[in-house]
Amino acid sequence: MAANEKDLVLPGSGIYYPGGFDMNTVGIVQGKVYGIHVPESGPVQFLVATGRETFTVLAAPFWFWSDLKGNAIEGMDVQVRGSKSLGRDGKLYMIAQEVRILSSGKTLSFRDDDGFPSWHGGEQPGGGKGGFGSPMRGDGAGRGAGAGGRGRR
Amino acid sequence: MTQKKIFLLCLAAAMAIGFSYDARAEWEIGARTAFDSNVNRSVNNRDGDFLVTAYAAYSRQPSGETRLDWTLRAIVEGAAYADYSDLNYAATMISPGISIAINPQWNLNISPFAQAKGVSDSDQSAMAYGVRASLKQKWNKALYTGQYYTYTDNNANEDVYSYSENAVGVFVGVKWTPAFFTEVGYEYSHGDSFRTVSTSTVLTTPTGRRGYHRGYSQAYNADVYSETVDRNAISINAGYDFTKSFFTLLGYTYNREKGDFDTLTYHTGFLGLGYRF
Repeated sequence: MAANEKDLVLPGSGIYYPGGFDMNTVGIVQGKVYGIHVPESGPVQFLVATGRETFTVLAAPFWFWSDLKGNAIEGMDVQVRGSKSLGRDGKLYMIAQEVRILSSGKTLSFRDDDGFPSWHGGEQPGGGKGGFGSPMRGDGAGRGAGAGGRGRR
Repeated sequence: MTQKKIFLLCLAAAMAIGFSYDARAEWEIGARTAFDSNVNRSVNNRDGDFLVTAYAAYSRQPSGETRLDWTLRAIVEGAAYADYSDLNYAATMISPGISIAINPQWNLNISPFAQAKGVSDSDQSAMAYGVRASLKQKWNKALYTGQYYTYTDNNANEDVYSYSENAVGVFVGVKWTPAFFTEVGYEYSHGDSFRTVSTSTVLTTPTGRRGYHRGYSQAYNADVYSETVDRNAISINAGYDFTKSFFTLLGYTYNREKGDFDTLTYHTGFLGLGYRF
């Protein structure tokens, strides 16, 4: 997923959200979660101390985080997979793709394999263009097969 | 339908587009070539035809940053038929809506829509209004499903081409790779539908047993009548993204319309190329 000019630039880090996810910098960190922070807008953030370094993890909008019961991971040992980035403020950030809770094996998933945010709605639930609702299917209501249907040509 | 109504709808679509440029706005242009095995909706003399359609669409998708968001879709399209040139048309559609993320997996969208369509055979030019409600589920990273209901009230210049329709449908999709997906869908609808019957048949078949009878149509070179039908449609679609913006879509639908007097079956298929930006 590529950042574009319409993304929110997060204060402090300067990271583009939600488009700042870069597949080329995807990595895994492991450590204890602390300092969960819910901003007024933008992604829920928390810290993961790995021993040598501390990453600020950018997760998802609050409603999505809340539905996944994200606050429950405070103090837990987790493995975070995501896109690493060095912020403008000199801190290490990770845009989370998924968080695996080591004690239970449960995974909180925030993004698809290609980094597309799972909380994005829209007409293509599979993420593909041309899915259900695509204007290419030829019906104003977004269904049909392009050339058929009652009274539609 | 008046030219003024079409103009006002186009203007409304353009204004909506202009006022809604934001984070999840997308444009799409594309073209498709399609085949309809019974383009004249004939009971006894079906005729197939190819058509080419070009379209430009604007959509404002929910950002997902909040549970409740609004959506907008506007489409302008035009189509040309290989043989049935009287069916060539231009159309514009606008559809605002609301989107509700029920939970991370379930999403509900409710969108009223209005469509203006100008057809070379002006009897078929129409204004349509309706509403669509769709519910979608993502079960995992690959599998998704959906259900929808659509009500359409289509008011054509000639009543025989007007219809109101209630449709419900379901679909199942699999995203095999980030670039390739397939979908299978089923739709049931109940509403009015026009059919054509060749003049020679009319001479031997009492038209009084049929539904609303309009008379002779030059576009189809046949008599036209309408009746209330139940339609069942099964569709298969496959899409592939060549790049982040450039994609193709292939689709096929089998349709069966059963009325009090006649049953029609026909096949439609299309191949399209699109570009999003």
